Amino acid sequence: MMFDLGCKRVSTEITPATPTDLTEPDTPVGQQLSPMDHAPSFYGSAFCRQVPDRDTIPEHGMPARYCERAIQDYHLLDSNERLNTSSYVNVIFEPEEERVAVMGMKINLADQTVYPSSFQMHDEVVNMLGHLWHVPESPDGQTAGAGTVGSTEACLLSGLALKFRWRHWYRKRHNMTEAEVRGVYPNVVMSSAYQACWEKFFKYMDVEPILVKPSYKTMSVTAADLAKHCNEKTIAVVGIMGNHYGGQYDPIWDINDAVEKLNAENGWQIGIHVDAASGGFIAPFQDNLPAWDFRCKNVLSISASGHKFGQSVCGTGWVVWRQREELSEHVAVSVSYLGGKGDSYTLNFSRPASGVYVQFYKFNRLGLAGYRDLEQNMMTNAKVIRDGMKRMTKDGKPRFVMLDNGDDRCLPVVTAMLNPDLNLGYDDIRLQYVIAESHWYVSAYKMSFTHPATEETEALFCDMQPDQTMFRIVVKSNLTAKLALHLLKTLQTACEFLDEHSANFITHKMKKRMSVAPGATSTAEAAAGAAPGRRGRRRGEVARAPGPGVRVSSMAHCEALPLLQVVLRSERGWLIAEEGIEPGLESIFGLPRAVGHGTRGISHHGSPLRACAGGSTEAPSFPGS
Amino acid sequence: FFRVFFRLATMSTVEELQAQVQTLQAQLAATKKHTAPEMYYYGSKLASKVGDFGHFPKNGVPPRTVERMIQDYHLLDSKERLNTSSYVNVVFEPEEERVAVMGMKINLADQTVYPSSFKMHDEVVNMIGNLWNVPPSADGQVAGAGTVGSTEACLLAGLAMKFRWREWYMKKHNLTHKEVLGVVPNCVMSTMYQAAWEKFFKYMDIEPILVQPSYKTMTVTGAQIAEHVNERTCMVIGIMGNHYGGQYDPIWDIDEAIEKVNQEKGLQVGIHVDAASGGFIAPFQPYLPPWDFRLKNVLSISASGHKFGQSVCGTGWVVWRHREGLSEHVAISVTYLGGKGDSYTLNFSRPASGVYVQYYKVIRLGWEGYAALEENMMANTKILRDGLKAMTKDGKPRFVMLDAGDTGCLPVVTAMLNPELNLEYDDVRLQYQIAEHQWYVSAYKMSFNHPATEQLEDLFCDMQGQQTMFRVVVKSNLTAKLALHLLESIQECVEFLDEHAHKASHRAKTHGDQHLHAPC
Repeated sequence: MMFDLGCKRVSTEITPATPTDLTEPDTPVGQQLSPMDHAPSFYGSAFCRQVPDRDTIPEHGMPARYCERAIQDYHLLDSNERLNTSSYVNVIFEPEEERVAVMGMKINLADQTVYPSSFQMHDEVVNMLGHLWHVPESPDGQTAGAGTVGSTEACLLSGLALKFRWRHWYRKRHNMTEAEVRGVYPNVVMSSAYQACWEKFFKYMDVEPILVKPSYKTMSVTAADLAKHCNEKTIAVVGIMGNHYGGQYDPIWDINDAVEKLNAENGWQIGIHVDAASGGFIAPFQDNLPAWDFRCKNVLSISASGHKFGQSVCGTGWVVWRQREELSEHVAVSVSYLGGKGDSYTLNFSRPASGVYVQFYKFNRLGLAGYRDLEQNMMTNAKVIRDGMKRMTKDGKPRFVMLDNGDDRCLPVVTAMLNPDLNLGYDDIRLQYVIAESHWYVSAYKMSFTHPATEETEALFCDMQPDQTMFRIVVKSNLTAKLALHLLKTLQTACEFLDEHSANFITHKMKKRMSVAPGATSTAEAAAGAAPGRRGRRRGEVARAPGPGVRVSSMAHCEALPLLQVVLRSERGWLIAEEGIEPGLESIFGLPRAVGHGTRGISHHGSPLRACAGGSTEAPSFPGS
Repeated sequence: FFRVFFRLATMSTVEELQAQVQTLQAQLAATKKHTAPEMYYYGSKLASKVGDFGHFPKNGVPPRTVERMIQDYHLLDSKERLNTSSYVNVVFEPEEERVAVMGMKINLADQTVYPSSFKMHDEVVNMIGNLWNVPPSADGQVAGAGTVGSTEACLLAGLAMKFRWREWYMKKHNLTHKEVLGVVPNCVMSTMYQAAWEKFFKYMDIEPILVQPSYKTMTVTGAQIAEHVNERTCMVIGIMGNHYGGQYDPIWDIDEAIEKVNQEKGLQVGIHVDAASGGFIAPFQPYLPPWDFRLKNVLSISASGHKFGQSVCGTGWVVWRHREGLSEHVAISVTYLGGKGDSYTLNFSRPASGVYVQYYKVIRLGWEGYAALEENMMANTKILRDGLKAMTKDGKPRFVMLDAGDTGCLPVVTAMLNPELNLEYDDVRLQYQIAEHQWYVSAYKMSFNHPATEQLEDLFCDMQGQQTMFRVVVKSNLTAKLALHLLESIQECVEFLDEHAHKASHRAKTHGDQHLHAPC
């Protein structure tokens, strides 16, 4: 038998290995065993005493457990995801759910013909969403929509569909050729409180952004403001159901009326896209809301993140269109694929089924009743935090000015700023770093944004200067009342700490220390000098320039030690004793990078250390998730 | 409970309170019945419910039940480990799965909250840059990004090239930004492109100029590509391992041809290498001529981490030669939750699983491990290829081999049933027969949908579009033992079809349009 022959060939010719090699999962796949395999444990292995060359693929492999441990160590140095209130992304899963997600990792959703059953699940979830958002029934029973990697892909797809729809209409109206209409630059009208994905849409898809700035008091735009800016080159008005800054809803119901009127008066065909990234799974469970979804006639598409209040896993987004004709068909790539043919509404192609599996899991696990329970719990806990903050005072004045919508008709988000009347020596960004000492990640940012067309920093709101700071707490399902109380206590302690250690000496004394420190002659050099030592080493090259680190040790001896401790603890997770850092140890703590943040990536704007090292003064503004 | 308590506290009279308690009790009973942890799935109403699948369920069910429901969907799919139509890696060690689950909770877009995970991302970009011989960068960080797949990687690379070209064209013709928006650039490549490029052409307003190769080589020459280059060409694309037959476009020749065209016509056309499949195979074939950043005109390379990179589905990589005038065009500076950084992504929020698993595989395998995998896969491909070659009918070979042979290509076996045999069945019919033996082997017609005209066209210059072929991708989990079983299955299937095909031929026809565009 050929089969038996195969067995022999496998064991004698192809894999000349001992039986233990075939069964022992800890042996590397490489032909030769590396000396590390015989080490008693990960911590006893050479890996743990070498400063590894992290920029080259290692010559030899290592046992599976070592790899797992090495990756855990990276993870260890991140913030704790369950205490990350800056993000809307769900991070809680049941064990069954994790197993389901792992099962989905092996299924390529792009491979519709090989995995038709999984794709059917995808289609059913799309239908459930259509049902949730009141989409009109489609003739073939399948709602036009798609699972995406996140709401970014969902927004880009719906934006593209609207762009092609508009092109078609504009071309007819002006009797243009295909080539001519490509030269016409269309626009989108929306609030400046948009999420990051729209910046990509404007930049990559050649669409002009017309941005309406709301008041910081409402953070939502009125229909009249939006309608004012529409013209015949407008492909769509985007309404935000739950802006990420304060969780308020744009009044889609009003926008619908305004667009209806505009279209009737001018013979246009402007549609509305609802960016319900966060609100898509909250608003349906708030009974007191006017119609905001497909019940509004001009709403043509809705996008949402499955991984936010949809309770799915990071990397899940959804888009649903009102209909296929003249809308989603423009982005339906008909993929004739490995023995099949079907619509593919994606920018990405190959992607795991995990997102769909987990979304389906959550829909069935929770049901409408379960989602409603979650909504109520989250709103209640948001109220616990909000009420607690309202009660905090200093010198008889409230400590915080609340910027969110209140307890109702919004996302479970608490947004506030330190009361400007108090003239405090610190701002919300400073507060963020002190809070981080108690494990909590609360994001603060300036009220400004980079305009996608001009790339200039502009004020986010029409009635507040861009330098004003604010902070935001997203109340996800795992933020229980008990945790909320701890967060409140942390806030209180942090404010008291900062009241005492006012920021003055940071901005003056410390800056002076740093700029005269050995190793750098100017703060600009500090920023530039930090990166090369850390990166870009190729095989055989010895690296790590001394320099920026030295400044830190000198700083450690200055009076800023309490604050340095805070920053190290909050930014990098290290606990530093009162004695400060021994000179020479700073490189081990990875400090150079913290001081003179590299040219890309993680720069912690507003951190005291950064400010000293001449870090970016640009304002942060586009949190997305 | 909090909710109940809250509601109770707001009730005014005793009667109202009592009524409320009763309703709540009833609700509780109903929910309990439905969600009781001891509920046995197969004995529950759910197991005999028909329809309503498109409606949001009213109440939830216990975790085990949902897990079982999802397993049932999965059960009806093909087996991923016997799916030879796909390049996507589907085998993981238990440690690896745990690492992936850990990464599911980390949002890679949240750079400031998860700086350490993002550092891992940067390190992997550097490692891959080194693998592809990228020139050292000024700041030590290779310009590149982890993406959701090679589609996103290709789109980003394409966009960077488009913006780079726009800047050049604007200057050259003294145009304003609005004027240049109306000029549609083009891109020259082989018809063997993967689906990503169709999206690039359609969504980013790029004119595709497609060169049809011969079915015998499945690759294009440098001269063929250079012939079509003009001043509106924003890039040419070379495919390192087309998915049909696994052959490499001669990037080395294309580089020379482009160098010449650029000099002659005063252009600045660059090459993008689509190494979706070859990116983690070619570096381990030391006998190949330079195909990566060692060639001067190669400006970017994209690859799927989840193919021969051995990572998990949803992992792709793009690396640029440098940032200036190239990747900076797609570097959106995201001022994000108290931070600021370059973000090279079309997608934004995405799990860190892909990066975690890629890093896992890189340190788990090392250079040696990847080389060993390449060797094993090529060896098992040869077993399959030799087996197919050895099969005959009426003294003639059963199959005409269409791949590149045993070296200098991807571990892929591509063939078609020998047309000289005048069989009553084609390769598509054969695919369905093989599926009865658990194996998924993809067959397809030699045609494709032209992305601009949307017409069905011939894939090759010297073969009609109706001709069929089939392909077996030899992934790492296709061991010699499995390969022998597959050979045996194919043998049995052709024998079965020799006998029964005339009866079944009408069935094959109904399968219709089996032209393939973009497997992964």
